[in-house]
Amino acid sequence: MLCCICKKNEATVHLTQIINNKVQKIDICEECSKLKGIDLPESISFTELFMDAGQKIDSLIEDNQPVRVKTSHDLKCPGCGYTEADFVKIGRLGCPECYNTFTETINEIIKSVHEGTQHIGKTPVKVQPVELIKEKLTILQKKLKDAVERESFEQAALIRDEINKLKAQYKLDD
Amino acid sequence: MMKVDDFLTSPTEACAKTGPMDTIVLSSRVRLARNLAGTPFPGWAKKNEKQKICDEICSAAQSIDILKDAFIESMANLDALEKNLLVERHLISREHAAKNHGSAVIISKNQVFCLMINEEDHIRMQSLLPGLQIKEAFAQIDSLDSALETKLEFAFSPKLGYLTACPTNLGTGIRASVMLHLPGLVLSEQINQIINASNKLGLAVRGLYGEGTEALGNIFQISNQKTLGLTETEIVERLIKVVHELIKHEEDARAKLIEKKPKFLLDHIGRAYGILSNAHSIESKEAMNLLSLFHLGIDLGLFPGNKVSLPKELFLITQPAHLQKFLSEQLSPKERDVLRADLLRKRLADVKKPLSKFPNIDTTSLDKMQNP
Repeated sequence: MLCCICKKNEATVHLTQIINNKVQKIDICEECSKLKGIDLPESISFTELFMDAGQKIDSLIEDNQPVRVKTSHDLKCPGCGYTEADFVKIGRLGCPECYNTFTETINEIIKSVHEGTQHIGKTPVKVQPVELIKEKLTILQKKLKDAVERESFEQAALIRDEINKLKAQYKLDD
Repeated sequence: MMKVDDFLTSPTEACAKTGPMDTIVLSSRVRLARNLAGTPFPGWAKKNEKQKICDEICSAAQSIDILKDAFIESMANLDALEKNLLVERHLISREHAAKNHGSAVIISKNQVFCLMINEEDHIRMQSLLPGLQIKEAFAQIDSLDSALETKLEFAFSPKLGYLTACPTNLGTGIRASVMLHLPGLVLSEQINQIINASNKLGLAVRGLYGEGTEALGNIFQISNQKTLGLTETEIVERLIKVVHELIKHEEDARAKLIEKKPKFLLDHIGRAYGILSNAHSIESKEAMNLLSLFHLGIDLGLFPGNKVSLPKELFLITQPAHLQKFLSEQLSPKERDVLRADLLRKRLADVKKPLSKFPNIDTTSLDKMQNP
């Protein structure tokens, strides 16, 4: 699906806005999303973005009928009562449980904003089952291999140090 | 009365603190975002829930060694002036200054650590050090985080990392940043290229008070954008690498201006000195921009015998809240402008006008700056 603003790049950011029971959806590429400021931390203003691309949205909606959207927009978080509409309007989530409720929309955001979808940084000491550490080590080891292949030896050294630190912390021999 | 002011170190003392490369890298900051498990985020929590969360966190913080004798206060007990003092010292965000009941601020005795309780997340903790000390700032905040972790249960998912109110802070929840003074790049009109290049490298460039603000005083805040899918160390290292490049670009821009457009530079600096030491009314914006040029003048040796701690201190004490705090009656903006100018004239009375030529720049000291 092509970006509806530049019509050149593949659309990777999908936004849904619901006003007065009318649903509007726009699909844009990473470049346009950056231009519109969507990946500025703490300032996702969908409304602004929609106002800018206003004309384009109308042409997406045929005969003023509500567009069929992903069913997740009907969801409500069991933890705090937050709805997807709340999320789209405010840009922030209601509680930690929301991450399990609105996974689809959140994954879209993660893909366009972050480096990867798996956390490989610090973990609270209480939450560290061995399987998790092993998973982290596997990812780090792959990163090390890639760095060496790319001949980024400085980077490789840093990753190797992290691997050793992690192994020492959890007394893994591997 | 003025509890915050009594606690904070004096502007003179604060601005005299030095760090590596601190004429260009004014300060380094590392911030971590954390939330308690099983409770709504601050923006969605009910009033009594928020208060409960705030009490729990403050109580845990007080029991930690690192925060012994810290300043702990509810935002509802600080008046607007005190809150703005904290914003001007880069200890809290403007968003936090707007909070009242249910939110708090905790500042360590050595003023390296500051925790905002119930801002966008339950805990936003930061370490702030002068000059280029990102690694050190990270090491310190990491210790604080580990200590807090033994007393509180943080919202965390093995896949997504630390859970935050906004998905843009997921994972490590880390925002590492530096404040850079880049008058050379601004004067040689290269700043936009630098900003674009930084953005392409995954770094955000903002103004003096964080997001969305204009670049006042030629000061830019550079920080990482991504927080998930990278380790904290990778994020810190990437930032340090780019900062070193930016320092080099700034130094090169200055050297080139001296070589190709010395009169242009001398003119800007000369006029800045002229206005700062003779105006009788001056707005905050203008003062900041001129002080930046005065700072540059000192860096380039045009004001022998003067240290950069002077423009740094003047920059801070001419901010609205710092100006206002000396007086009990509320000043109008026009009255502030006059007071600002009076203060500047007084403090610059002993500063002789700048030299008319650049002293021979000792290249060995430039090399020393790049290879400490």
